[in-house]
Amino acid sequence: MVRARSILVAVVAVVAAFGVRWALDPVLHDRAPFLFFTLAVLAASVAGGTRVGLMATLLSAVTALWAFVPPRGSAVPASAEYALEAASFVAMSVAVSLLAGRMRAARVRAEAGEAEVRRLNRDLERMVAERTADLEVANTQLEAFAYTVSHDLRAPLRGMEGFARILLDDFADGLGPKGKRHAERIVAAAQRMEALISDLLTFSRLQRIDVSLRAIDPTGIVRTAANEAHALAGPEDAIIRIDEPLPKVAAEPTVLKQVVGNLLTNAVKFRKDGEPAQVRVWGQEFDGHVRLWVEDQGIGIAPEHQERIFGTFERLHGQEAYPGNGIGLAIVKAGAERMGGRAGVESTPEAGARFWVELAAPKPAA
Amino acid sequence: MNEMSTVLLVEDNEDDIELIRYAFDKVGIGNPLVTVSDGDAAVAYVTAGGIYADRERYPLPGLVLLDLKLPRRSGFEVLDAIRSYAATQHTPVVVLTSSDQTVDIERAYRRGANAYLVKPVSRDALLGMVQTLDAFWIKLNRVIGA
Repeated sequence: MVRARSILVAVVAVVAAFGVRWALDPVLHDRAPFLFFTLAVLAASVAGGTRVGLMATLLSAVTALWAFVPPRGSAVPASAEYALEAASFVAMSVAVSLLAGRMRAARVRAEAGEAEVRRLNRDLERMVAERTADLEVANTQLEAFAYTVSHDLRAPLRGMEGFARILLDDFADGLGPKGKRHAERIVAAAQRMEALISDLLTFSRLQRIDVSLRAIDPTGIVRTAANEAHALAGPEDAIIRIDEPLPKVAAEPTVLKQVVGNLLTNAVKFRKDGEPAQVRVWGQEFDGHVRLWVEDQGIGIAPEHQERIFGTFERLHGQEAYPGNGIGLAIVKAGAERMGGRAGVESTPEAGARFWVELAAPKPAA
Repeated sequence: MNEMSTVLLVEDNEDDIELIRYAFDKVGIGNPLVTVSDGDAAVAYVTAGGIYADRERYPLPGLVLLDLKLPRRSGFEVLDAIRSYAATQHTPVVVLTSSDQTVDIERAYRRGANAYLVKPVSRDALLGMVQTLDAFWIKLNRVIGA
């Protein structure tokens, strides 16, 4: 089909060249018998490649020799001059055909290449769309899971905690001291489990929520978190000092509260036995970033553990010494990262720890 | 609402029912507390349908405490039924559930819940919550036609 059309193009081009040369014959007479046939060859070779070009060359040469080269009506040229002109036409036309053929082949290859690139792009887009859909399904399942955790796992806990407390309050006499201790353990276990579920939900929610940052003054948040940590430890057991004013940060208030709250709770919790916790919070600004530091004089962390403690369920101490579930610092790390920042620690064992959260400084108002 | 109005508790978990009854007792709430344990029964009670046709025995509630996850019909559907039934369209409905998911909170308010409370795990927190419930919804809050 393509071949047939190319041949048609060659024939039409030669016929057209013949027509134009014929029309100009009264002006040109015997001069330039091959004029316009070169264009026909060019057109044919561009459309159909080298072979069609060569065909047009042959067709043009025969037609021109027969119709325009004297003696007209014969294929044999009258003089050496005309023979030379015919030869030079053929040579030039062959060269044009070869060149046009090359160009055409290159163009065909380039188009094939582009088509391949387009196909690969389409495949890639389809694959990305499929993966995204898979991820969305997984995300929905995770949300459903989080829902079940929050709803169904908490229901039996309310029973355990509630009825154990009722036993303690209303049936203490019948229980005796040993029974009371056991009921208290049920209450404590239920509370631990509740804290675990609640922290797990916070952690999972942190991965999923949209965090939109804005410029906030962290002082109020730090004060509230400090009061809560203080209440947890008891007034004599914690001294928390905040170096105000703290520099402004680009953050999300709820997430920042969680991050700072967990750092302060830890700073108060991991105090040395028999000593009150001494905690200091301060801010540090450096080229577009703000670090909030929470420093304590507590038990500190050995260098080999300093990386590990930011993972989920990583604990360095038994429940009896320092109760906890190992999610607190994972929330700190995830929270800082969701706000485009990071978190870390510097510590010397037995001398205390300095935790930091690094966030972007808010962009100055224009 | 007054101290004689019925409080309808829509709750399917036996433990929660008993703990809430206990809390009502401890706090000293005198109002009759009626319990239904699935969504269908809740709608039947509110609309005086089926076995609840006798309003003498099953009076129109002055306050509904509504769990969301219920057998047969969800709390949201119950809420829709309460709001589309003339006699209860303004009855205070306090959602009392384990879920603190934003989607649930939004859905509940969109369908006309008056308050949304998350059941606390600790018994002391439950007592505190029921105390507040009594002070606000039963003692202070004024409702239409009760």
